[in-house]
Amino acid sequence: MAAALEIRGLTKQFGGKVAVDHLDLRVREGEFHALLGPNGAGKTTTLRIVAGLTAPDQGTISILGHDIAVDPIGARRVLAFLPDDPLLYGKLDAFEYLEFVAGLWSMEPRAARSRAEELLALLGLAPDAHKRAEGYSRGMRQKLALAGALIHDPALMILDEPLTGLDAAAARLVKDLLVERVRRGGTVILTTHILEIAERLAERISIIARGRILAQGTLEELRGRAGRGDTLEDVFLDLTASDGAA
Amino acid sequence: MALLRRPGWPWLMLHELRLDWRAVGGGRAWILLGLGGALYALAHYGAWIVLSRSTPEQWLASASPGYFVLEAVAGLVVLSMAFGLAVRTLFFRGDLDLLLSAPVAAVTVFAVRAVFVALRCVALVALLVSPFIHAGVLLGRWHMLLAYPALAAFGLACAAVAFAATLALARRLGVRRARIAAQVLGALIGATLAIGVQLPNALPAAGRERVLAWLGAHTEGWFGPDSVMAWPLRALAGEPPFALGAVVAGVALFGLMLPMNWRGFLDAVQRADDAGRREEPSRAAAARARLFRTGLARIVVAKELKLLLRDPMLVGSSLVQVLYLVPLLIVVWNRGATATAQLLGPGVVLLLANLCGSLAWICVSAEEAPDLVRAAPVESWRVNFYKASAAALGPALIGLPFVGWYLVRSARDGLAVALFLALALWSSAAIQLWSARAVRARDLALRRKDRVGINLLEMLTAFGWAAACHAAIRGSLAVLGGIAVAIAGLALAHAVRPRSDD
Repeated sequence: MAAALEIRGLTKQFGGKVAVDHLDLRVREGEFHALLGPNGAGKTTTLRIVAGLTAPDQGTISILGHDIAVDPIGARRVLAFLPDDPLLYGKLDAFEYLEFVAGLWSMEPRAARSRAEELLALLGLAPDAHKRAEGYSRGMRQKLALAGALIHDPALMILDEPLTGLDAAAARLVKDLLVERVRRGGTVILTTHILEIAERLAERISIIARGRILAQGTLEELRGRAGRGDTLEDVFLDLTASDGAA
Repeated sequence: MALLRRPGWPWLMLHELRLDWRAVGGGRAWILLGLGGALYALAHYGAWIVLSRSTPEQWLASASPGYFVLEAVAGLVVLSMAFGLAVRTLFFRGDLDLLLSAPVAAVTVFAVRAVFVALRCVALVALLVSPFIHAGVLLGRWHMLLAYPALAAFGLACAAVAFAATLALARRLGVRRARIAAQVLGALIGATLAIGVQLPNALPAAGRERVLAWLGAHTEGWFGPDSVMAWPLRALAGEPPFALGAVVAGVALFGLMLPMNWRGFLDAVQRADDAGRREEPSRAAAARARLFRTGLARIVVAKELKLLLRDPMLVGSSLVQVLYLVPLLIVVWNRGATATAQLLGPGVVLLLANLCGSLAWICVSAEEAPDLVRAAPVESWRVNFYKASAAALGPALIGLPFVGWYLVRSARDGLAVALFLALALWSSAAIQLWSARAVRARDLALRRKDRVGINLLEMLTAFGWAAACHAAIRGSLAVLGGIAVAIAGLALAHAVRPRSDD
């Protein structure tokens, strides 16, 4: 199967401190992939480099065939990145925000408007669509950012802790939405500290620590690697502890 | 030492001191202190020479009205600063959430914050007069040390007035409007004297004579060594009765303000949290069923204009900058048509270039969702270019009537003003584009601290264009000099621009 994301030898240092250390990662098209790791493991740095927000020191990244060093605009066109603390425009309402995002991705206005209405309804934001985002709760802001990530129908979605701040119902809604995207051929990569989510949703999992991939595979494969047949939590703790990262 | 370990007055004072020290630059501040220290020592030497030849009492005895005008200007500027600081204390929450949720009395928090506002707003005056105080002490005039408590008391009085007025505005108008009103009021106070002094000049000659005669008759005896206007100067000279009187008056005013307003402070801070929010949908927005806009330029410009216009603090700060056009207009208007034409255009170019730089900084550097814009499949320079264009729109619109006035008067002058205004706006926006760096808050006060060198280059460039405009209207070849200065400023700003924002 073709790769939605292919990272080779990715390295990044901040002031001499290695954040990502010759990292290799391959995520297949149409896959739900979870990237797990302890705090400071290099997950967010890796994802920010993939999204073009941070420049790598070394390594190559290809997104659905677009090398981000050669064709950054083409790569970004098929990508949506949702950071862990999405920053919105407080003085814009939900429609205005989505109009701006759609404009950045050069969407056809009529299609963008209809897609915005659909997403806001789906995420339960329709009644508040004309309120300014500064009055939104943390969960509503997260949902609006998610709507922004979805509006241009990206082939690859990268989400950094997407369920932070969401209540149970909203979290369920977002999980269903992501699963549905994968079912329809999209690719989703997410980071989370809630291992049950990765266990339930992800087809393949990568465990990262100290900037390197410790293990990668399906849950079964990871269990085999860790030599234990318990939960993902056990496997995760076992692998990161043996690496001295936990 | 136990006092410093629990959150009371002294503990909070130390906290404030630490925050102020960090705001100055923490460790880097030692370098500034080292450089400033040399100048300060030199100022002491100068003050010592002056005071060894004459005494403050002798100056006062022969003081011309100019001294009192200077005194009034300094006083109004300090009061204006107190308003600005009071607004920031009340409505920019900072660590107030933490402090007010801690088991510390709100009145203590308010009092400490207000005392520091008082000290901050007289800090500059203290810096200017302290060499004289110290020189006086060295010459045996120990009483001059009383100038310090007198100055602090003046700060307390200004802080008391500023807090009382701002909180009264918050009660009357609501927090949202009070923020702007207090800011504009502060600026008006600062500009009052500049405008007031020029107002008689704006009157027709006959009316001006009458007004000046009336003023002369009614202010006789106001400006003399024994007048009430001399009291603050006598207090600053350390004359014991006046200094002690100032201390009593300042402390009493502050002491009265504190119990009357601390509940209002708490209320304003709590309501400030909601003040920025506008949850109810506007009717226009709710009724809107239009299609989304198309085209990156239109979308980015529309978004930036909305964000600028919907930010009351920002609108207030920008209006304050435009307000300083008023004294300029009055000054030049009464110098005859030729002088007006020669000075008005350059003044407009200078002020609007500064406003454009501020707005461009807000649009480009203070982008609220930088990750979203950088992750989008468009070149960042295009987005930033449209943002800077949006920032230049407002100043350009303000400048249009002036250009129109010049065009009616002389096509050549009109074209010159239009050209140099356009170049100045473009330059300010371009410098902000080149030096763009993500900052967290859309706050013009931050801009003054952010990249001081770049701001100076922006000012130099604007000054160059203004000078070129002045020379062009006069038909002088000095226009080339102004252009050279502006281009040099631009070239320097381009040379020192950051190469990477990663």
